[in-house]
Amino acid sequence: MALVKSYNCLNALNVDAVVLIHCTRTIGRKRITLSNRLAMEMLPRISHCRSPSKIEKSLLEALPQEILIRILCCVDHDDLKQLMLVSKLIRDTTLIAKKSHFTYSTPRAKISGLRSSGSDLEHDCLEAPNAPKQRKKCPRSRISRKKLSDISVALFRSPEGEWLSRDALCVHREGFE
Amino acid sequence: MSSTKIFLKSSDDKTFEIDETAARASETLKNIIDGGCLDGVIPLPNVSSNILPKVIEYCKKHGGDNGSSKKIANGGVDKDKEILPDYDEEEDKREKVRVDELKKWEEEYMDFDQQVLYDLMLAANYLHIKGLLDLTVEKAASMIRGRTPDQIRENFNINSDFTPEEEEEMILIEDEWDDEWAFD
Repeated sequence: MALVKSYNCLNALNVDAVVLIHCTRTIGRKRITLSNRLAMEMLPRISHCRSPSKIEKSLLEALPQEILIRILCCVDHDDLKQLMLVSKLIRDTTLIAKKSHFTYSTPRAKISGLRSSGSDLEHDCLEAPNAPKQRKKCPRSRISRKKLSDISVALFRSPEGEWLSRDALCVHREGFE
Repeated sequence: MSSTKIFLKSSDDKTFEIDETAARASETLKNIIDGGCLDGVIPLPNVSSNILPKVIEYCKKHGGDNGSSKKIANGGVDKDKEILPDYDEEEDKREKVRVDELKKWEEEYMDFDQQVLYDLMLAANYLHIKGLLDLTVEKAASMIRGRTPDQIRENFNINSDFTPEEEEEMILIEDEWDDEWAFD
């Protein structure tokens, strides 16, 4: 994994290539030879800013990596996942942006009402994130008031006959009204 | 403020005139001016004649200061607060009007197609005009925010070069991210 990462970085951040090799050297012995070989492979590319095969590509991808990273650092945390799936070059750049910028920044609070528009807006405003699911219709209590008062009688039943009779009387009266 | 004129030559050999104060918005030009290497025309081999006027327009608007409207708003107000504890309300209001005006101008200024956007980005990067670079980068970022991968590809005319297996792998990585970011 580390190897893949350093490869990506080499591929993308031309300027930092030398620095990166320096870093890996301190980590482990195995990586030295590999990353050095990688570096040798990358060297011709480092001298040319961009490999010729990439010229035909999208205008965005034709931008220097440095600027692309700048752009990606301006998006939100949530957008990184989407960017990872766009293309290899964008993915590599996104990884760099994530490592260099997003790891150190707090995800923006989701004030989707300000950003999104249209139908999204209404939907997002209704529900708080991660809130327990709410029932759309609040069902009415199946127990009627009358029945409740019966229950109250049962609850207050006590050995003293006085209490019982008083409560029972109340219920009785209510029932008639 | 009287200022000397500076001439900039685009990559296709067209010459444009700009005030020295305006040119100072560009770090690169500023260094050339301050370095005293100025002999008439400054050649800019990386900027074409259809982009250079746009850059000059930005420099003229922003004169000596070096930043987008946002930055000016923050910087200006903070400075006032530091110097005078109860700073002038009138001044604050005027500042706000100025910033609003600048924002409106930026909106109109930024109305162009993608090709120009990229060229402008490159020019801003080359000339080290931080405000302009921030502005253009922000515009590009706004075309990414809240979009699906397909929408992003469509926006920027990108072809996906993932194999199906790789795409699956990507989705796995996404899941890892979900664990990593507890805030989400």
